[in-house]
Amino acid sequence: MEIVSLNDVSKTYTKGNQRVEVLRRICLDIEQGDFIALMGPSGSGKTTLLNLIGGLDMPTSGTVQVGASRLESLSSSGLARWRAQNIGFVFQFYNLLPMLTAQHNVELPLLLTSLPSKQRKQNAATALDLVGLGDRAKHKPSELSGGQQQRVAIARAVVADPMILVCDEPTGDLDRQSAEEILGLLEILNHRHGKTIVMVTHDPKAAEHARHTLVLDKGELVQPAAQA
Amino acid sequence: MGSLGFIWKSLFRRKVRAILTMASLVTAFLLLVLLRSVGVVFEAGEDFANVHRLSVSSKFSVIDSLPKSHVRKVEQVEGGKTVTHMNWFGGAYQDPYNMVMTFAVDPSSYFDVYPENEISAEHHEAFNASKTGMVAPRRIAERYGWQVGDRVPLLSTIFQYQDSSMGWQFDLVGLFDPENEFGDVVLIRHDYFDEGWIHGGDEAIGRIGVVLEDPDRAREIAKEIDSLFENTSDPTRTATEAEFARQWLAQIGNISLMVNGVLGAVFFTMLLLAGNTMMQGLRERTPEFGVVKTLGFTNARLFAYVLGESLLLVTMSAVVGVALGTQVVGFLVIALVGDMPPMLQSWGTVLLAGVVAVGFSVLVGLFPSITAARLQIVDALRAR
Ligand SMILES: Nc1ncnc2c1ncn2[C@@H]1O[C@H](COP(=O)(O)OP(=O)(O)OP(=O)(O)O)[C@@H](O)[C@H]1O
Ligand SMILES: [Mg+2]
Repeated sequence: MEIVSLNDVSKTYTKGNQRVEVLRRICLDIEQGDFIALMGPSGSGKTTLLNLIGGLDMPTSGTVQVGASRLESLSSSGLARWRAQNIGFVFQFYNLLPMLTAQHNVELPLLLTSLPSKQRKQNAATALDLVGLGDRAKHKPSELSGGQQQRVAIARAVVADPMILVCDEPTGDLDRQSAEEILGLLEILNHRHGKTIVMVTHDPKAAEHARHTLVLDKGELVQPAAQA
Repeated sequence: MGSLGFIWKSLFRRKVRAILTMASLVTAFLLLVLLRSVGVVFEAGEDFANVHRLSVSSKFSVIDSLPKSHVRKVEQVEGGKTVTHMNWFGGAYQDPYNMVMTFAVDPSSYFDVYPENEISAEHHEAFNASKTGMVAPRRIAERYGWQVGDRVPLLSTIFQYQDSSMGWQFDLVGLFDPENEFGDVVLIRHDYFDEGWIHGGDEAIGRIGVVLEDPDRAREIAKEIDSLFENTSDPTRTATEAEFARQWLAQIGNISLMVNGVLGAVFFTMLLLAGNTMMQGLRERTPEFGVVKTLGFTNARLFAYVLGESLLLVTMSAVVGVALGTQVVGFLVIALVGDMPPMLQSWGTVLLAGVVAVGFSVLVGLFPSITAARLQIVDALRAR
């Protein structure tokens, strides 16, 4: 069953009177439980595509269906609530809030839920344990290594139990060993917890951890998604 | 961590900067309380001005005295109902800084001219009967623990007693109840004062108070009184108490304007400073705003959080500033006057501080919160 379905999606940015067509008539279905590596040269539109799937941006034309929702039909606040419930984001530069401890960074998405404070705290602690950082809960991001920060970011992405994880070069800023740890973690989340993952990467080794690889070039998918 | 905790942590992300900003805001609110209290003291006089009474003093200045014979002559003027006179004595109890405002008065007529000071017939009689007598507002007697029958020593600020000392002795023979704290003036007898003063004996008086039969004729009668003494060596200046108050107020108007001007300048400067701090914060936080929006924070929620930060900052500073300011005013007033007039503890200043705090938070916080709310996620994330 597809969990993500893009139909004839184009995205055009207008800079002054110059139009840049970043994505051109993309058709893409992603099965539930899949782990996809999205590759392609710099500027080919990978982040843009990821942002459309994650509901951070809207297509210029075409439709984006994720789960039961047609994203173009949601209001800005409806989309925000939808993201909070359904999508976990992991970025290349971790994007943790510097003034919050690891524990509080992970708790942040739960502020949007109706969970009582004690439950929020406990869920965040569980997520930190899951990524192996239960003992670093009180550390600020500046007191953690890159790999540890990225693990905190993954804990934050999964704490609200979303169905899809969207990762933009999650290992792009890490050394080989940290990268492998992160990829291992993503595999566990995919295999054991059934999360559907879409991961942008430049690293062929990283792509090996995925079930499928898609290649984007100049705004077009050049390799059709192979079936599992 | 709840929403408030998040706002708190965002606010104190840079502790030194936040604390410095708070310190300057605290100072601004402290100044607000101090300066407004000055304003309150000055403006309060207005309410107690009286149009039924004329005040006659020396044309040269309020500290020049008049001969007592003036009183008899003023009594002859038609339209003046009752006449009394008084001298400023100064006065301090135990310690020269412990000021007790004291007047030397004519005991028999004083309370007829100033009936807002209520005294029992018995105590009034005792004051009439005892040359060394003194009557005090109940509030003041209570403060110093004076009992009727006590011998009370007072230091005069400028009048030496016969023995060349500044120390005078009086017998507290009665208490009275002034209408308000402006009437908290201790009264001693003019005849005793004149005898006791080393340079006394000429019965000089400071000021004459006249109750008018018809307030509408105030101007006319004032003119008539002044014309009586025009060509003597002791010319007078006569006006209603209200008129004196108005002249006083004209000066105070300027003081109020100045006070408010200073406050305006202080808060305007603070606005620029705090606004600048906020804008700096906004730039460095743009990617973060993108992140929390990514996590699903709606524009409205982010708006509330960012505005909440400025509300929290300013409100905390206002609470500390007003609390400190009230303490400082209390301390100053007690040090200078010996008692805290109830009007200074008025809620007016607190209310004003509250309104200023909310207005200020909105002015400082509105632009950043709107900007944060309007940010497009994709642009905000790319801003790093
Ligand atoms: N908000 C925007 N406004 C204008 N142009 C944009 C915007 N976002 C992306 N672009 C342009 O779209 C193109 C694709 O950008 P995108 O970030 O999707 O590429 P990418 O494949 O993720 O590249 P990289 O591997 O370097 O991250 C680029 O040419 C970029 O300049
Ligand atoms: Mg990219």
